[in-house]
Amino acid sequence: MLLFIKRLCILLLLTMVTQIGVYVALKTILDHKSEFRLSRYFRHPLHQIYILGNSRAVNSVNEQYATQSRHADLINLGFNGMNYQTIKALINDINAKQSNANLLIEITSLLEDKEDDNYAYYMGNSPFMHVQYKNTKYEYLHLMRLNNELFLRNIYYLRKSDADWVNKYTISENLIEETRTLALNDTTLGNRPLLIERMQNIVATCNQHNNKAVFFLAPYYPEYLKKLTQYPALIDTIQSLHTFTFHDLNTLQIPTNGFSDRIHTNVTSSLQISDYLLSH
Amino acid sequence: MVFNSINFLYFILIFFPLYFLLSRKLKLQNYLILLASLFFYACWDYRFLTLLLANVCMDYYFGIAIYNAQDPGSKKRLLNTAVIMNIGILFFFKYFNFFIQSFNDFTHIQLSSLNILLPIGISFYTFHSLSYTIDIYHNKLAPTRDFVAYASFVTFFPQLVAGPISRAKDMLPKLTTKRKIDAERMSSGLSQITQGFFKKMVIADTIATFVDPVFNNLPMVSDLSILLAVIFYSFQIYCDFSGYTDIALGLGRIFGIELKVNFNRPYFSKNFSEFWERWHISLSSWLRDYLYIPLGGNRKGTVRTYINLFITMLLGGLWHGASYNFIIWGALHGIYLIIQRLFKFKLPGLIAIFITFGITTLTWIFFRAQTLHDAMYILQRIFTLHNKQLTSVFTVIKLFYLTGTLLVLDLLIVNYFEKVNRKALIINIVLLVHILLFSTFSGNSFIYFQF
Repeated sequence: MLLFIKRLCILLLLTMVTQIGVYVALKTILDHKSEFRLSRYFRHPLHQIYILGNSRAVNSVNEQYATQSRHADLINLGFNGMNYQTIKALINDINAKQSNANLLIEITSLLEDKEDDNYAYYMGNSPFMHVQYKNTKYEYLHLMRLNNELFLRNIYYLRKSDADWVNKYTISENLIEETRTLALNDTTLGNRPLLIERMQNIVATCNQHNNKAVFFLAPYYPEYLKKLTQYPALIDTIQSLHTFTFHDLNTLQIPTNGFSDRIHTNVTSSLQISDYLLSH
Repeated sequence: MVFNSINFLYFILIFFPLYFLLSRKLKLQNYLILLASLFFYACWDYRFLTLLLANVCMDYYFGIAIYNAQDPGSKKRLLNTAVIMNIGILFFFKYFNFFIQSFNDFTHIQLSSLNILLPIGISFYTFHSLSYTIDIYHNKLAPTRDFVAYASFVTFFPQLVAGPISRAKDMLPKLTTKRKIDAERMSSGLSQITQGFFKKMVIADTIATFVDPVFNNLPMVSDLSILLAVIFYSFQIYCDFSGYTDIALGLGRIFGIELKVNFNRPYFSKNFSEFWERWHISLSSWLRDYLYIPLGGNRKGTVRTYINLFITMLLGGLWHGASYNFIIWGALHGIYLIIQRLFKFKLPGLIAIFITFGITTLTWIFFRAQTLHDAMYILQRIFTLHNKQLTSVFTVIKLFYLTGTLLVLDLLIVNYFEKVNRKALIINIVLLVHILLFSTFSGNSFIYFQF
């Protein structure tokens, strides 16, 4: 019995040591080599323009086009489902390192509150990212920080950059038809007081560090936008406050082939949106 | 309380020291096993505890009565009563609504169904008990007079809800005589548990994150996604069930109560009879001994052999659940076995393995699909394969890697846990590292719990 317990302890101890070793090795390699956006940011954090938000931000601004054709010093830090807590952590991180920068934030992302363990991957890269996962399993089981999609993406982007990551597809006829008949109980843009409060917090934080927060609402497929009953009130509220620099990109008249689905634009329209945001 | 939950860890942390404190008192240790097993079962649904205990009492006393009966007629009557009562309870809870619904569909008469919940593990513990009374009837076993030992055999928590299906003649001696527990065997059990958690938490649960959304949204996903989901499901169900079995066997080893092997690398089978000698061995051998052979087995001519095979596999399918899909799944395997006997194919090893795996995989569609219509729809989509778009590329790459590790486990380091040496220690560490790196930690239930 004692021998068994001794063996069990040895196994657990060696596993703990190994998992730290594997974590350090993998993280070091990926941090140095991966061309995934957040790894690129933590390696070279200083830029003039930062894009922040969820998949709607990812698909709105074409980083490759902006940097190569428009020669803008821009990095798109958007990621699918990015929540407010992560956006806040990234803004704090940018503010701590940089001033006189423009932070372009897609506003629907500010209403994302779903817990997301993906970003535990970067808890060792920034004290602001770390704070989200303090006193959790990630503090002690280092390797679990890599147990997520960001780890896989970092491996995938070892040999190429994700600067061209924008949807390539065009919205299907089926989805267009479905959208026409869709009965939507719109809660997407409903919580205006919370959104305004978060926007004000971001503006205040950025102002303290001489950075400029610019907000935008990425385009919706027009038929779908008509079903978002809270949309007009949201725009009215934001514009009536006169405290935010805000762009409603639904005014850009994106053609049908510029959408990949109801809520995401694609590579075609990303050029138009990027041009608009860079020139405003 | 699933094995892959924090509650089970607490449960084991309390049970384990108590069990070893009582290592010199067999009777008390059996009481502890029984109490712990009943508590384990009550954590699922305490309402069915009485049903479980009723089953235990019923077969315990039937065993004694059959043994004590003087004339063969009485023995037979008692056995028939025991079988009817066991199967009757199983039928009522598991199949009653299905047959009412089928009757309604065929006759257009509207008999009302009952609101019945399926008691977890009922198919498994009914088969544990049945083997006991049938073996006593056939004089293969004398009934035990130790109720606690018998009850511990039926309810032993590692095997209670999803097997392996144990036989009393194998298990009772382990509960009625002093158990040998040594560090080597315990360490080996620990390694097997590690392998089980790896298969379940890393492979099966990760595959589930891809397969479940595909099967739940068939019209919305591409043909290629459906094809991949069908292939990966073969690995999911194998790793889910054999992972559970590894944990159960590992726990048994640690407690000195070894359970029977239930899987032997089934996807390396070269034909279907070999497959059924390697897949869910405890069920297939139970069906062979208590159904196929009593039906006449292969002793009554070729045609009867085929009919017996077909009935056995059909009922084996029905054992899994009250649905036409399971019946078709079982029937198809029956047909494969008949065809194999009819034509006696001889193919080169690798080709035979590949074909057997391919057909088994296609047959799993009936097992996994929610309806027969879905199963046919899936077959149609994967054979046309028009839309080859793939959205979850990262998940798919991860799944290919993980199924690759399964191949290594089943091909290069098979049964590594049997030995306690430095190699086993290193493999355990690698598996634990994989659990930290890839496991979903979702606490998913095991697929076979629903049966």
